[in-house]
Amino acid sequence: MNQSVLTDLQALICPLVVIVLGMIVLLLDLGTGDGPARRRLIYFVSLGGLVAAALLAVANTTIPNAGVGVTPLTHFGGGMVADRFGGLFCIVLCIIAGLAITMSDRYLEEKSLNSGEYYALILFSTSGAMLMALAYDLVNIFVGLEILSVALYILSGFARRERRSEESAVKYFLLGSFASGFLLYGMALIYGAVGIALKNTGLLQPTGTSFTNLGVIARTIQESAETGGAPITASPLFIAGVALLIVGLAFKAAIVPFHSYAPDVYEGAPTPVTAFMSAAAKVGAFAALIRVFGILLPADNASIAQAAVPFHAVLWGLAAATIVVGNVLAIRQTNIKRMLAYSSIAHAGYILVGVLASSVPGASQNAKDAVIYYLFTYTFMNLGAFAMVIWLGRDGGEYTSIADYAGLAKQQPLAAAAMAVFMLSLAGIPPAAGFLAKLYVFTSAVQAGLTGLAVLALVVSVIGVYYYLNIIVAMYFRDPVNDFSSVRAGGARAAALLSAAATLLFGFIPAGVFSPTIQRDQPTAQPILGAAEKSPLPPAVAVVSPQP
Amino acid sequence: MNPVAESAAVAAGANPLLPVHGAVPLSWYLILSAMLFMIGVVGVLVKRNPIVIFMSIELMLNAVNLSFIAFGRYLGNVGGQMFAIFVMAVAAAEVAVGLGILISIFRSRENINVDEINVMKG
Repeated sequence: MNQSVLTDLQALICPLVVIVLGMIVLLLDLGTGDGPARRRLIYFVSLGGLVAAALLAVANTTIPNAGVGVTPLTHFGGGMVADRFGGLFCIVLCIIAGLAITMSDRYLEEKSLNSGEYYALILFSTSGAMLMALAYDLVNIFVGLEILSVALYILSGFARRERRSEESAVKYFLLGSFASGFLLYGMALIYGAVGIALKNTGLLQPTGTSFTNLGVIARTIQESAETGGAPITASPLFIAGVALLIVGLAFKAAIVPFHSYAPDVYEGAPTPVTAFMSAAAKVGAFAALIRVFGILLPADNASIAQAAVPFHAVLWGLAAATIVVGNVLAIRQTNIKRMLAYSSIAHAGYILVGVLASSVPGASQNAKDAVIYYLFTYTFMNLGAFAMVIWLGRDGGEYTSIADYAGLAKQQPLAAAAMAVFMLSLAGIPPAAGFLAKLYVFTSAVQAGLTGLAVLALVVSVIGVYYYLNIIVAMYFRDPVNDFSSVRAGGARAAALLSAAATLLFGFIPAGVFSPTIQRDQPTAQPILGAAEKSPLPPAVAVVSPQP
Repeated sequence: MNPVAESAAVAAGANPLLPVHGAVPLSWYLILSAMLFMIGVVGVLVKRNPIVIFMSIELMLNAVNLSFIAFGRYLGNVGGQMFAIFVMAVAAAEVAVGLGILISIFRSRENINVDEINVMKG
């Protein structure tokens, strides 16, 4: 028993370290000593802890992915799962939190917002997103989502003397909890649909079986299809539940038509917070989307696949609409934070293409790797672009209009070069990592038979080149309008240069960090569970120690 | 099910978690829950005062709780009740944060009509 508890804790070491780190930061903030020295201590303790958490998560990346064809290693009574997929998401989240904290120091000092709660909230929010990535139960997905969101509501209103920041907090809070309501209702209907299916087939075990567990749901779907009757995926309760779940998660990932909050919230929130939430909320939501769709809409069984067809069509439409709307609306933005907000909507659309491909068995593994690779590069290029905005500001302000950046290359060549790298990468132009990320995602989409969507995404992404290059043109070919001679140094600069280096590195050495497996042979469609284990519903507890 | 009928059913040896004859059927609970949820959704979309919008959101969450508890009781499964308790705990955290945000915005503007919270557009 003790042994298994230890194994459980070991598997979830990354989020646990981050949560404890948040508590330590809060305690340090209470400590004695003068303000600036204490803040600096908190700053470095947070960064060091995140590095440690990321290194600890590396151990999990060797465990095979849960999902189609593989019985997952579950922990905590089947509620959490530790696998390669979750481990990589934890590492991405550590990087996001680390970069966001790194770029915050001078900005917070100048706005006199520098307090320990800021760092603790970022850490708690990160741990929520990690829990979403490791959750194997709808309850845990919901709790992780709320830990992520509630901390983000506070963070977006953190500059509480500024009207824009307050406004962004109110909008995010009201729309976010509205979306949580839909997500929850979806979970309730899925719970009921699965329970009723089990009750009708006589396989119901009244206690000890959690109908919100993704393993139990997967087996119920499989068995309901095998018993010959209508599969549970065709029942109205289940369909309504999945639809509502899509709405809730699509809101968090800012997918059209649930994106309307994003530009306002991103513009109003303090810039480091915008950088953090544009990446962390998306990573958490996409982790949950991939995990849930792999289970709820498996396409490897003819009768189940039949029922999943409408959802694939809906996701197809959402991805297409997100790519088109994000790119088209980004063109007319003059505020760089709003432009990046629309650009992040467009990127959510590209990632959704990969998510859709990941629910097709033959392409599942490739698509998952492609999505994770995309999120890695998106993290660096997007947080890097926001770090540039902070770096080039001064005296508590920042230049948010795109026209303000005219002539930057003449005064700050290094900064202009870094910004150019981010813009080229976001546009998907070869030397930078954004190109490979798009290549992997679109290739996996073609493998999954989504050729039409991949072509559409490619064509529309050309529009993106226009507004990204617009900034490069302003920086290099226009006369200066602002004096950039005394820009803010410190963390933002370090974060921006680090991100630019990583963006280029990922672009030149695509397989350097972990190998995106574009040529790897995939097993063809397999049943969700191995044929050997079709016992009627023991709880999905398979505690095996993770491979070191 | 009223307490008298319940205790009678328990005395007769029935599983107290499963519905007995004459109990309110599951579908009624689900219809009530769906109606409450829709009232909440309409409230969010129609009302202009953020406090009232927030109350509508709470109504949505409680409609979901009703569904969870009705399903849990019908299925004789504790998962539904447990989920409802999680929802309540999370809703309490959201109330604390949400009211804090609303107080902070009211202090600076003396007005919390959502139509006037519009510095940013486009």
